[in-house]
Amino acid sequence: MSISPEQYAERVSAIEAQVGRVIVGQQALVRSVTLGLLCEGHVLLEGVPGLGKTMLLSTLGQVLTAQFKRVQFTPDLMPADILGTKVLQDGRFEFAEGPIFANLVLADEINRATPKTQSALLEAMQERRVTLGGESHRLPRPFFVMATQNPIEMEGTYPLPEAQLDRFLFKVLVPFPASDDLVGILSRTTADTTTGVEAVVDAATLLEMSGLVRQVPAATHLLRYAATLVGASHPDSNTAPPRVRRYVRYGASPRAAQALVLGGKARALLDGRLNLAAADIRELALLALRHRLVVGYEAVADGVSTDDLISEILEAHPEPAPEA
Amino acid sequence: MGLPETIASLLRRARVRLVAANLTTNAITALAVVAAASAGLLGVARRVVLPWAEPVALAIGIAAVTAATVWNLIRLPSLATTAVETDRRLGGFDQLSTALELSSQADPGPLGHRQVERTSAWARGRSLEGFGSLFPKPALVGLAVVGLLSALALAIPHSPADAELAEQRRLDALLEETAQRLVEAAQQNASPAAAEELERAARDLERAQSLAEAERRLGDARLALAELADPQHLALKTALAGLERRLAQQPLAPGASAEEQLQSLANGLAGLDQSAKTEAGKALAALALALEGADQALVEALAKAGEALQAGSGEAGALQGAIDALGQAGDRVAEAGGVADAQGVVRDAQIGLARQGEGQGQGQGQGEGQGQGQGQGEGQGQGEGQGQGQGQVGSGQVGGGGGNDSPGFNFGQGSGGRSGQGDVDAPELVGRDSVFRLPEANQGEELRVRMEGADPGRVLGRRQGTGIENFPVTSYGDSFADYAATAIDALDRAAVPVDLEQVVRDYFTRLEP
Repeated sequence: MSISPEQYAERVSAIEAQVGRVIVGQQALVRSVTLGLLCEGHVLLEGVPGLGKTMLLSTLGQVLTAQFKRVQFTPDLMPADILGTKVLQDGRFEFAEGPIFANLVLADEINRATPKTQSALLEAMQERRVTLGGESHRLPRPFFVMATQNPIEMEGTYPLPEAQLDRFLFKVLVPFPASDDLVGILSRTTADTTTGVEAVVDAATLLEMSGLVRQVPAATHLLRYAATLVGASHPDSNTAPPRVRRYVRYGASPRAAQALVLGGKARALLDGRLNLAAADIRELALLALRHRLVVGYEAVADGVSTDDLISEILEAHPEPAPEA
Repeated sequence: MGLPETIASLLRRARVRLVAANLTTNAITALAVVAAASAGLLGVARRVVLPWAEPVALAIGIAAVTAATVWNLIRLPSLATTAVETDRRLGGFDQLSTALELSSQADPGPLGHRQVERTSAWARGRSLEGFGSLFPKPALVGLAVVGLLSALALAIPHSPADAELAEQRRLDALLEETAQRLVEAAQQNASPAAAEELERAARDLERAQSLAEAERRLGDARLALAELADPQHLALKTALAGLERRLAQQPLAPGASAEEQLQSLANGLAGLDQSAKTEAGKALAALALALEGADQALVEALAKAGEALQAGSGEAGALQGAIDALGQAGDRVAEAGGVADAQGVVRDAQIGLARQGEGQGQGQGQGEGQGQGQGQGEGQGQGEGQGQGQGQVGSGQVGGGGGNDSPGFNFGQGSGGRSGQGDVDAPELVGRDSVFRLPEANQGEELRVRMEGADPGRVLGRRQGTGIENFPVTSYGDSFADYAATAIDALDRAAVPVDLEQVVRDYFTRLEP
């Protein structure tokens, strides 16, 4: 173990402090994205335009001493534009890496690309490699995809397929800033000053921090609790609340349980604890489950959101059972 | 790696606390539920007789608390459960449960070791403050207390149902006691048929489901005994008594009883001259004449013996026939007496049950009765009796009457009526047969017949004359039976209210000889 929990906490504090120099307020948002980073997981940010999604992710790219690339997703974006392609060079076809070959990839407005292009990310996000022309190319470590999408514009957008969504560790909703924070934003962005940030963590350190997260012990009953919550999101489960059975068509995948446990471990370390707790799992339930529940038309018609349903699941299972 | 002692100690203390808290919670919960249910049951039992309600409520309460205790002792929380509960209650963020699990692993890793050490430091000297109360929520305790107090409030005070139950038990005991008396009377009764009827009545009584049914069964028994009764019993008994008394005053021959005198007469026939025989024969004929209507066989035997003595032939055989007839008449009287005794026992039992059923000091009543007596025969007599009852008695006493008599028969009879309401706790109906009791007096003396139920000393009947006493030819029993049969027949035919019907029956019951 080359990094201690204390160093871990210091590094995270440094990252958040640097991000905070650019992003005013939004501590919970920053913490959620940071947790994704610490788990080496992909994060999807959803929010209306102008809330600083791209600014947050690009700032994060600057804070990390790592390869950062940004891809603006548009309807005419092709898979090769992301993954790369083979080009004829000196009489040979050489693989020209696309922007996906970076430690941190910002997929801006990912839902503007066609499903074909969106699907190009599937292998990269899950297996951290790209296969082209029969050749596999491993992506650098750490590898994160940070994507943004706009929930209100439907024209010219393509909803992310469920398989794609499932590959995101967390889905973070970007809230409108508080009034005081908005004043701070105005103050910083309308003056003739530029706030710079420093790179405080390199890729190797980030990998070590991810490794440390995985070493955090988790008691069996807590793993069972995570499994219970995920199981309760399935409409055919006996443990599912009544409204879940009514509105949900498909429940969360096992990746959701992994996200709960891994994110919970990262959160525990940030909280100064050396073990996973039920509170960590509950805290991350919305982040890990909201994009993995597929609700039916009835839920849309009744105005029932996935967050409502997840809250009901948590209410139905408030505490882990001590023993099976 | 092993579990650090600080963690183990904390878990041990927490486990004891957890068991105690679970025990009190479950016991009080069980108590609350059972107390509420018991209160409901006891509330019903105050209206409906449920003799098992209080024992069952108590038993269920004890069983519930015992079951809760046993359940807690059987299902002691494991160490893992204790760790999770302790984390939850003391804000441990699952560090105890994680440390417990890590300590069971051979190599929990560097971070695992650190976690256990940090948890051990956290557990060191930690008290169980904040672990939670030993007692459940006040609302639950309050519910248990309210339920318990309600159950006690419903169980302790005397309820109408309790009174009804006590009354039922008292009546059961009464029926059993009455049946026992009937059995004892049957064992001592001279009449086998009457004894059998008494035993049957006792069995019927034990099977009776209510007081009314018991009275009805006793009434059936009385009817059956009435069929066994000899209608001439009283007349014969009275006649034989008169015969004994007559012979005691004017003996035919030495001897204490009539049979001994006849036997002495038969034995001494050889020493008597004809005039003495004739005199004895006249006396026997007079006796036969006086007994006319009582027992025909005895009358004929006496008359035949009288004629034989006067004729001076066959007197020995005729006297023996008279002795035999006298003995048979005595046997008949004894047999009938057994039936009469049985009737008296059943009647007393029925009256006793009626008193128990009605006589509980409810209300007051007044009654009065008047009686008239008539003499029959050559003379006429009148008598009247008055009785008044008041208070708990609720009924008039039976009036009686006496009668003057001329040289004829001095039989007088009275009857009385009564009316009134109230309890039947009447005074003892003593001396009902006093009207049949021949007054002890010498010839020429004025006889005063004192009637029971009248004012003490009041002269109800008066007799004066020099005639000899004669015997009644129409007994009170016969007259009573006629009246009673007519009245009971009318009750069976007419639509008479049940309570009034009982009044009539009681009336004849009390007058019954």
